[in-house]
Amino acid sequence: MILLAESTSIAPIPDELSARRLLSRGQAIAGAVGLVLIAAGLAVRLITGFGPSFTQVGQIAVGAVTAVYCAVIAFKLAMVFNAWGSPVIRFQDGDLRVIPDEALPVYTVLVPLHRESAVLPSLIDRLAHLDYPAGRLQILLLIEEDDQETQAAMPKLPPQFEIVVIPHSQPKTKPKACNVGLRRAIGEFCVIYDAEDRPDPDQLRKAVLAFRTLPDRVVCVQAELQYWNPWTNWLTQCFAAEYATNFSLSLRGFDRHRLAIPLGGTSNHFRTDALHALGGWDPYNVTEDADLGIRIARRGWDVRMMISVTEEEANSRLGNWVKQRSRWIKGYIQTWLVHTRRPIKLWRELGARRFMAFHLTLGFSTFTTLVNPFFWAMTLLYFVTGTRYIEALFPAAVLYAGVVTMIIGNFLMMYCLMTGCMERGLHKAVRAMLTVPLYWGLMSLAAYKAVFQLLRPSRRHYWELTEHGLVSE
Amino acid sequence: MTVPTMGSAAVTTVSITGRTYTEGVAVVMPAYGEEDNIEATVEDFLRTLAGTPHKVIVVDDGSLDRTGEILDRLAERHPDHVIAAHHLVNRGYGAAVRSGITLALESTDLRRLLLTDSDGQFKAEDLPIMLKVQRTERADGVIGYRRHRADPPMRRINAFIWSQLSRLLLGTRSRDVDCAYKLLDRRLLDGVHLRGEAAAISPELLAKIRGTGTRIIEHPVGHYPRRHGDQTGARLSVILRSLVSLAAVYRDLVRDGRRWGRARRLLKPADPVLAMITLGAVVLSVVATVHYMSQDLVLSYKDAVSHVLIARRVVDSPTNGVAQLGGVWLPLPHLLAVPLVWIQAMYETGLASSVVSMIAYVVTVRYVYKLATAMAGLRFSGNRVAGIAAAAVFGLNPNVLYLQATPMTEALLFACIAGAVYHLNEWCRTGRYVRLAVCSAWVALASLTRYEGWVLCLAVTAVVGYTALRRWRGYTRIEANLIFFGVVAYSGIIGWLGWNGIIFGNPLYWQTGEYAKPSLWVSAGDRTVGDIVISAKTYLIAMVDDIGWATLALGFAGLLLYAFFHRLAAATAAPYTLVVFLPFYIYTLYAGQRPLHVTEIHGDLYNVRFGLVMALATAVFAGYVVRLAAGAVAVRVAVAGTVAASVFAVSGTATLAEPVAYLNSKGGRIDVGSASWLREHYDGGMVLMQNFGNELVVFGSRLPLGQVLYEGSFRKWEPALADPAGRDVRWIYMRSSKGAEDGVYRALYGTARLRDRYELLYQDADRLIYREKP
Repeated sequence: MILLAESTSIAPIPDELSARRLLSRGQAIAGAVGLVLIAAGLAVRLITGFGPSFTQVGQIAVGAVTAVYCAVIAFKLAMVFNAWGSPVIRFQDGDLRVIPDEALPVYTVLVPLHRESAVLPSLIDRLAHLDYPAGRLQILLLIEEDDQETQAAMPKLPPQFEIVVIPHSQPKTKPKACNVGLRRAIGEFCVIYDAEDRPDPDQLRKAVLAFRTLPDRVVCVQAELQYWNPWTNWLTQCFAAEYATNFSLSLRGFDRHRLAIPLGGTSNHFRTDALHALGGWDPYNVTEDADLGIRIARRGWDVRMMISVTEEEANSRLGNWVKQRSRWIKGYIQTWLVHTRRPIKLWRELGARRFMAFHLTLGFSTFTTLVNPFFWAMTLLYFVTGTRYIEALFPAAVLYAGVVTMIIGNFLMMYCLMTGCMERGLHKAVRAMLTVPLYWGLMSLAAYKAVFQLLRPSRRHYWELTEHGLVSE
Repeated sequence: MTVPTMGSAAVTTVSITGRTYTEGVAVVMPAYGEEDNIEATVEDFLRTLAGTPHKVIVVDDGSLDRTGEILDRLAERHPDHVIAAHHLVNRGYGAAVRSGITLALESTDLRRLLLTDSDGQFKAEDLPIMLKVQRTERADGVIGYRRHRADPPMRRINAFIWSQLSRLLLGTRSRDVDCAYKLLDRRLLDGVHLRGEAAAISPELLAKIRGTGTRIIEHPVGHYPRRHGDQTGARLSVILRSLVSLAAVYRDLVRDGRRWGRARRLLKPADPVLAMITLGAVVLSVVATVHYMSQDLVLSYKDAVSHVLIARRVVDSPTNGVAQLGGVWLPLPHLLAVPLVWIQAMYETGLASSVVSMIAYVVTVRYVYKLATAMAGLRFSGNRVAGIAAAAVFGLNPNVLYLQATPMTEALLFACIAGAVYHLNEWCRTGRYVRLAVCSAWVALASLTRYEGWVLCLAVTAVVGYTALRRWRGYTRIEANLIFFGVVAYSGIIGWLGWNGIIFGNPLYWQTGEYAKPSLWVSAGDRTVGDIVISAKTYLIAMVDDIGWATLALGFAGLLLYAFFHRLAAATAAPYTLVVFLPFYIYTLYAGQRPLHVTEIHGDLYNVRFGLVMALATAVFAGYVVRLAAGAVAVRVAVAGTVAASVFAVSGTATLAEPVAYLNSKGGRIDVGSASWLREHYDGGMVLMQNFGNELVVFGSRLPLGQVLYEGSFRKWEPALADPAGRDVRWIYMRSSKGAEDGVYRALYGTARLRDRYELLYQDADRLIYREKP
């Protein structure tokens, strides 16, 4: 069955909350005024000799960055080590039969596809074998109008599948396709799976049970993501360890403290009506799910983590990995900018704790990734040349804090990843974590790519496509 | 598919109920003497709710008028929608609301409850709005607040006081606690037990439904003046009853841990025995410290003084900063003392460091109890008795009690060792990686406290490797566990080597440096050096001096017993690590790395406290002896008592006798003499004085450390030795002991730059003190 997409029935997201524009007028003005003030201050100093010296400005900058480092590291540690012993939604097999088949609601599965002909047959096969009555399942394969390749490769589909052709328009992103799919969704609940995902077959049943058990304010249940190919190479080991730490530890900490969870791309299950009320996904945001997670929190609603695993393919090629990571970081920056357009309103809506957590997760973390290379370079330069120009930038207190964050902080971040490996049983990857600073270097590389794309309007909403099926089983 | 969660100590699971409810509202209202209002109110709700599934539940609270009668007629008229309940006698507002809620939950399957009143002051017209708000906001509850209160002023003042009181006691944060218009999801009331009388029911409800993340929204509702009848709320009896009930609700919240949760957990600990032991240890620790302080014995050791000095110099020295931690003594004890040492009294009494030792002592006693309990076997019913015996043997040891009152670093080391071995034992038992993580952290702390910690590190590594091998066999698991343990456990050692490399340009400075060489302490003719038998004998005697032969014998018996029962099983290998210090010390003496003198062999005491580290092994293994007494409780207690009593066989406090002997020796008297002179005559200005060997004088003279240039004054010491006057040095202190002259003496004595600019003011057998000529 092939359907062309219909026109909208969902209230669109207000421009205020959309990443269509990078900066709001207020942000642009504030940013410009800030830059002008700094430049003017330095100019005044240069000309008249009044005002703070360059060294002092440098010291303030270095001090501020060090404070951000300390905060980010402390927050990450708190989340990881708070996860030990936190309550998690976990169902046993027996629980799943509490709801008889005939009482199960219609479930919509959205599968955005873009040039995925390679993985198509196995995808169809997996989805057809989900443990959920076919009569109550609506699987929407979302295919771009110009994606002849995928359309041509389409095999004969079982009846619960529908193909939705996404009309050609800008921006051409996954969230736009999902919004089109959402308009066609008839399920009480819906979920997004990527083409290469391998969800636990009983995941939909678990999600239904979770939604039935949890109060209405919980509008999204996020399953855990894992990689099925951690052993392909060093990169996938690091990637798998990162995911393990994030999903098995960090996000459980978020869950425990009810902080805003930046959703993880796929395997997030929604109450469809809530998604409608939220206006679906922001088509201009390239990490639309992280953004949606924040919008859910701002609305006063909740996301919970659920123990059920979806396996994904870890990116095993460097170029491909950098593309994917740069998209994530670009999206994080977009999301952070969108939600800080009216900071006081944000603070009111989220409350102080979640407000801080939001900045630490989306804004400051990305910021540290961006400044990391500068600090590594400065450290290296100092050790090689011993120049006093660098020494001058670090007053004693900042130096202590800086050294402590650099040595102990980096060490503890590595240790968190090892903890993630131990938690998930990725024992072979523990050794690879000894070299994880190299992986962080790659992250900084991706972060700069993201920033440059954001600065170029033509690439701002460009969706870096991740190639799947690089590794066969 | 199962998800392995190896580490999570307790991943709790949400409860699952298959119950589903009908979307609809049960309106609950109490009624007392409302014959004029009840019918209109009920009909109002019935009309408004006509389109949705609903019930109106009215509880007639023993009204004396016709309320009950009218109510029954209403129920007859609307059999599907009105439920009437009656209290035979008047039981008050709270009881009526409670009856209504119970009835609503038990006799309907409606999803939502509206709690309101029957006096007609609230109207049904607000309910559809509330329902819509609840739906669109996805709230668990919508609590009304009165847009305009239609009440007389006195009642409003009462209400204000009442809501402030509820806020204070129960933590309710609602702008109108008593507003009788509360729309609640019935799941909020799952497992909530209500007890509130009279007006107390409202704040109680709000306090008890408030859980983690519960979404309660406040929404304005209309409030209308009373048409008929009187208010009952302002009667004195009702007010009193409400207040008493509020207190009872408060008690409930405290009982359920919603208020004062931490204090409650402290008062009702999971293991009361452990709590008692902790309390006992705290008391003992304080009493012992006060005792030794009153005798002026806390700072008898030269090393004790040095520790305080190092900590103080971090914050107060001509070149203050962390570099003052130096490279000989490991830094942790000094770092921990820094937060207190800047306080003058804490510095002068040594308490800044003693407090660290005292806390460490309490921690150690706890871990000794826990470890001995675990070793006796968690299934063995007498395991706690074994734990108590072990804790007593360790905690009552006079040498342990003395050292924990001083800035000496042994107490801290013991805590780290005990913590490490306890968690190692738990890891061996359960395989949970979290335990290994905690163990490695304790090991790292131990390795930054005393060099014995490094030996511990090696021993624990061996056990980790061995246990992983026996448990999982596969290489990957062994490697993963060793790395996971090692990165933290060895971080202290690597950090220390790095520190020595950066600060002193030599990673091994702590071992070979000018002030760290073993030759500084081990005299050439020491009988232990090169003689393994004498070394062993010396260490054994030191152990007997410190721990007592009776306890040692019991500990040895316990060790044999433990080895007999458990051999080298992977799950029970951890406690053996405590024994590793015995061969280590014997070797150290043999190799001449550190000196240890005992009266029987050397004729004097020196570092006799080195034997005390074996008190940990002795205590836990002695505790294990109780395991033998599997019979009656009395036997067990008798055995445990005997084990504990063995501690009284320790003869005196050898660790205290040693420094006291020094202070009474010639050298000690000279130290004290010159310190007293300096203390009296110092009148400001920079002092040039070597620290090493003169610690007691630096400290005893109460010189402001910020004015003392010493060998740790970076880039200031050498120039000051070369030209003291040019560097503003006003005082010069030197030691001329033959063969052990200090650096100042060697650099300046007999030179013109000393003679010309300084005059000698003090001289005794081997000390000289100069002051700049006027």
